[in-house]
Amino acid sequence: MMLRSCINLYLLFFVISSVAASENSQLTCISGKIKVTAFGDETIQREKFCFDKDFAGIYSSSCRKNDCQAFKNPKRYYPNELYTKYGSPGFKLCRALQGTPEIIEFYAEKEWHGTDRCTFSDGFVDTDTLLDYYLDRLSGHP
Amino acid sequence: MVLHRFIHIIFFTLVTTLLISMVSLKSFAAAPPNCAPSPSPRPQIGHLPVNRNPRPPTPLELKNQALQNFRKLIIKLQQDSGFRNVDGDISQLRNYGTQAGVERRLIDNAATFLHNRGIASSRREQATCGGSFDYSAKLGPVRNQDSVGWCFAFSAADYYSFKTGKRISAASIAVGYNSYWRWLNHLFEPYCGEERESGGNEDSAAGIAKASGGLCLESEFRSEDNGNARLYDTLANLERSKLRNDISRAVACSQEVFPHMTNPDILQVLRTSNQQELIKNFSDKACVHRVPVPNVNIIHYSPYIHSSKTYLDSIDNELTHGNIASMGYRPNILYNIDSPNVSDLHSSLVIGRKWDTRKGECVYLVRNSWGPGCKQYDQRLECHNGNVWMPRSVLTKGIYDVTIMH
Repeated sequence: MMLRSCINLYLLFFVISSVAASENSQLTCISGKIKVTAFGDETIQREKFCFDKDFAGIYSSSCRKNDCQAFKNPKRYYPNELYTKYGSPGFKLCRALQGTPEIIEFYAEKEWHGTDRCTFSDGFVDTDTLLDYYLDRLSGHP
Repeated sequence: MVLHRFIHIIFFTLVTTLLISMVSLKSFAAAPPNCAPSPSPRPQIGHLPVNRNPRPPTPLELKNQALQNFRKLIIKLQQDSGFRNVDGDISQLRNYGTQAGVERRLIDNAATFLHNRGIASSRREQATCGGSFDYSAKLGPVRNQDSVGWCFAFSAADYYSFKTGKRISAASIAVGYNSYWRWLNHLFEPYCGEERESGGNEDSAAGIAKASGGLCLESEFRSEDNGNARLYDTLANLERSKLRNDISRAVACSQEVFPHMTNPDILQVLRTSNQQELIKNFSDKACVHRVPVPNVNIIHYSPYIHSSKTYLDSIDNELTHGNIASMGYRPNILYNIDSPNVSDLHSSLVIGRKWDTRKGECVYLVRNSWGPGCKQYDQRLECHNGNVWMPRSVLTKGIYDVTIMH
């Protein structure tokens, strides 16, 4: 009886831990290659980073728990400030957050995957994730 | 002896100073001229989150809110029921109506009307939305226009890429377009002016590219991957350097954007071009292996003559005949499909169509130029690697014009 309770408690703990870590569990973290092409010159850097299941979201290992500079701006952004005809909204947001946008590719599961990143002093994250984080979708503002 | 030592000290100081000066001069002379990136302007936007509802709403406020929601939803369903079965939303309409104290009979009448209209529309739409088309594989990964307002050029370049099977340079099309319209230069200067985000029309861009006698390959004039999204800034620096006769800097900027060009070619373009033609001449010189322009008729369905139904009918016609279409539309429907039409215009391609059994509606595959991310779009939209399936009812609301290469 005692053993069963212990097992139940352990299972409960396991389930709670899994749910709490669900955000991170969807990321795969590796020490891999990131290709940056600037004006025709390709540079391949070896870095530790994490990516999501769609191979579009990418985080530096310092940003994987949403606790780097990329996620520390208190501001939020109305969609119509970012979704205009002028450039992609992610790059606009990146610049507004004082980050540096960049189109990159990373190598994972035997393939190069194209995406972008917004780099801050302590790490980077893709601009799509940034938009998801900073966009004020609920304000009713257009 | 003292004098001798003094002369020695003076001599030693002089020699040391001379050596230091020479080293400094040499290092100065050896420093490569660079296309110094001016710090990009940071958009002054954003707001601090506000506590929107510090106290619980009163019953009256709740009732008013429900009435507002009821009105909004009934307007939306009136439109949507022209395209799809709206039964899934009718229960929500009933809830709002009941909370707002709307007479039961009125709610029932509205529900019945919307149900019948939705069923009839859904049947009609399903009959006309035959076949399933998806040309995304033929176009490759979704591009990223980064910080430049050249969506129209990306649309035109992707369209030509579809037609030719080669990856066509969007930057080259944008430069050709800007050059063509440069007689308005004093009104908007494409590079040096403040209007750093100049936009354009995809039909005009496609026409100008067609008349150019050959399309430039992406590999010869890159539209993306330009070092921290600095393509536009670098072109502006190139033009400014030429204007100021700062040739070493102009060469450095040219080498960044056109890395395959030789120095004699760069110098020749710099020497023979005036400011107005400079970037266009660079583009022409860099694009060596031009792709013949396909023999196409460019048809533009303009908003002053045609309706959104005509746009979608023309798109349907192209898709069923193995072609794609380019459209101008309000990009706010990308982040919120219920959003009113308030934003500026944007341009993308329509590259597929299918019947969405879950939504009970015809959906169109929109290929945007904002990279492969999907979180930037309304999460109700199906999205794969930056290609978004947009319901016909939403597209009808946001579409502005259509261009077809027939």
